[in-house]
Amino acid sequence: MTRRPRPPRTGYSFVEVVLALLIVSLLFLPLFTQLSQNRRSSLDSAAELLAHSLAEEPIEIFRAFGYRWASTYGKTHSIPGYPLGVWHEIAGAEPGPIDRPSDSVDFWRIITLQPLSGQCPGLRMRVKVTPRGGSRLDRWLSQDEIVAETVLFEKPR
Amino acid sequence: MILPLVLVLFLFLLILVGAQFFVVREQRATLFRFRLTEHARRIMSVALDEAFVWLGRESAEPGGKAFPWFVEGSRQPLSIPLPATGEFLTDLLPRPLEGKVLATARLVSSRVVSEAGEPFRCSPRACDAIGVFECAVDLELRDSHESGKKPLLALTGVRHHEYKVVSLVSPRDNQMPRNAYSHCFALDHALLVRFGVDEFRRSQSRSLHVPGFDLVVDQADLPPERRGKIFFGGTDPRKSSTAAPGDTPRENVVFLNIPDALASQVVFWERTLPARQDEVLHLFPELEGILASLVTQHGLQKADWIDMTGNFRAGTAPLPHASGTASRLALEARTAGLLCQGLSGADAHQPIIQGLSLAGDNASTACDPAFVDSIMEGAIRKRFLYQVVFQPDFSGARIKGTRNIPGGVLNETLPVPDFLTDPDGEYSREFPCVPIPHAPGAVSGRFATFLERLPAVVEKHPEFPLFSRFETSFRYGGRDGDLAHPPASDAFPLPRFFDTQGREIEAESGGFRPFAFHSLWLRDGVSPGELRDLDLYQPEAGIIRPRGLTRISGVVDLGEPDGNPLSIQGRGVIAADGFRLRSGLRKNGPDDLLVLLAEHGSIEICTDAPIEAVLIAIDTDGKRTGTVRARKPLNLHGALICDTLSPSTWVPATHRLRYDPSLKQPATFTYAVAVSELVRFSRVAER
Repeated sequence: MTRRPRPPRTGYSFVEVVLALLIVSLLFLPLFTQLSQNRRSSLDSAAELLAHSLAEEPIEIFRAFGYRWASTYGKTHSIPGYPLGVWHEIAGAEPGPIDRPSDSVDFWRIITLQPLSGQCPGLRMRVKVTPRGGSRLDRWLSQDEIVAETVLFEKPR
Repeated sequence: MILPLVLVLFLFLLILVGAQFFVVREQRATLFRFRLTEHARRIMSVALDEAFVWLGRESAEPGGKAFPWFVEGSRQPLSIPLPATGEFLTDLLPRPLEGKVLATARLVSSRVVSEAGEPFRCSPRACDAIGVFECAVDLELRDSHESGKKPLLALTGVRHHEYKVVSLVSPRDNQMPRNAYSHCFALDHALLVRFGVDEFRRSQSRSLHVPGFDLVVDQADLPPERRGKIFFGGTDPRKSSTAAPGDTPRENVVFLNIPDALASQVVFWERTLPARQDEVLHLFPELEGILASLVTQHGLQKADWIDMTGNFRAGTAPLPHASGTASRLALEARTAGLLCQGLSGADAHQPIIQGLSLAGDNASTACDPAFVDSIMEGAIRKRFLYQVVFQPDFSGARIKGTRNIPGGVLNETLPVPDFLTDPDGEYSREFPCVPIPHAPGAVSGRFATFLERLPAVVEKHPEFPLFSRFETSFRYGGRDGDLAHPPASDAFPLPRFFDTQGREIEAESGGFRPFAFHSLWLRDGVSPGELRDLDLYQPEAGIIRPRGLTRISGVVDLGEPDGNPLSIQGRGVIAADGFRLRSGLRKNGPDDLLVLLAEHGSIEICTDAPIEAVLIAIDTDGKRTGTVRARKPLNLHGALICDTLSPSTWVPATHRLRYDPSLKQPATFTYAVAVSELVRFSRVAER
């Protein structure tokens, strides 16, 4: 009796397929992980840049007006949107001299002024910016807050 | 078959993800660099600010470290400490970053001439200049764990600012006039009235003689080289008269009446000239008629007077004169009154009152010629009375007559009638010898005849001035002199004034401009409201901080009525259209100096509190409106320079002016250094 020859194998076994998929997944997993980290890092950078610009903004304004103006700020005069010593929302894009990206609404800001302790009359100005809790930028930004500082000296006139 | 495909796909994705990774890493590195640079630039700004503040502070006072550096125009860089920046830097930089910051200043350029090429400097030793200085800051940020390595970031920042060195007092040898324009020349004077002679004539001498008004210029306690000069513009008798027709004095002089208190200034003079009989008879022609009637009465043939004499007595007296016998004072008053009626203008002003106490109110000092010579310039003269009276003396007179008698002629001598020798009679009084007054009815009767005939007698005695007069030939101070030969064109040494181009000018000229170099002014066109913003004036704190030259557009009010004196902290000139001072001004220290310069109006003083400042009121439009108006007794410790004194606008009182000796430096300059906050050039660059 002659044996009927076995037909040649034309496919993969289930085990092979599973193994293959496993190998491919293992190969691609770090790639996708890295891809995700890259994206997060990129968004973090974008958020940090925005936060920096929002922190710099009052510093530029106060520096432009100078020490004498700043030393009585909040007592005799103030600018809307720039309160002293309280966390406040930042308005988004508005027509006006100060324009900001629309994402600015997702940040809070606090401005503080403190007299210098040395002989030289001056004010230490500190601006902190932090993302609104639960907002998109809160997820993006890795740091809790961004701080910008300067010193306003009383200049000879 | 599928394996190669997977491998290709994997490799493709690997390259893609890898590329993105590097991009993102670069992005993070860039962000780090950005953050680092932002930190550095912020530190740089703070450091440059602090450097400027330090330079500003240290150049404000002569004792400051930067003051001589600016004044001398040093070529050496100046190291600047930055303590506040150092502290800020330590706080600001996240660990492990650490920073090092160094600041220096250098003078970039300077200019010593105006835009028109006129030199700012009155002498080679002067340091007036405008220029540009540079603040440079070097900043290095390092990782503290990697010391010795190249810094993470190295920045150099520079800013250019303008500075001005302005002399507020320049040396003046009190023995010599100036020989070039110095923009602070006016401060040489304790009192300078620019249109002094003109005002004196126009006011008919009332500018220096006002009832109830006195201006005491008190500087007797100062050494000669530190005294302020006193000058009235136009008092140069050697030049042709500037008087308009009808104006007096015709000579370009001003005079001050010398009262009793200054009697020792009156040139002593006592002379007696016996009058001959023919002169007596000429002066009293009625005596011939009297003689004729006596001839008739006594039946004489003819008769003559014999020994009819008298005396011309000359002497001097103060004006006004208050001590002496009533009859003497009355006679002097009558003489002065008659003289006034024969004169006009400033010479004739009545009532005759004492002049201002320009040499102080201490009689011995005011009469000391050395003292007066050290403070006065130009023709400031004293005026006193030179009085000549004629008193007939008929006590020894007789009438010698002849009487016809039978057989001959009898000589007979008769006494004069009693009324001619009566001590209380008409011919025993003293007749003032004055030119006959122009005013109708001023004199009448016998006295009028006497005065009409007096010139003929005067002509016979050219060696003995027989007309009374107000003597104004002698300069103020001293007592020596020869009234028979009064000096011609007597005057103190004259000052010399120059315009900015170095041409010699008169005080009345348009070129008479203190602080005239526009480019030396730190600020111009500032509104009065900005004084506070510029920190020049803090009314709440009662402080004035002058620094350099500042020009205000408008009238400036300083102080509060009955308020505390304002404290002057700094040195400088504040110019404005006008000023109103409501409270006193007090220098905070000996180096402080304030000059108030009214360029289009007056300086109104509404306080009697001490004012330690220089008041200059000179109308730059030539309208002669520059004056000071003291609404309360002035107590000025400084100097007063004005177009006109206008004492009629002052409250009648005794006003005092004490010259500030810091305004008169025989050898040294007083400077103000001002730095401008305005940034002319700025650059921050990585190294």
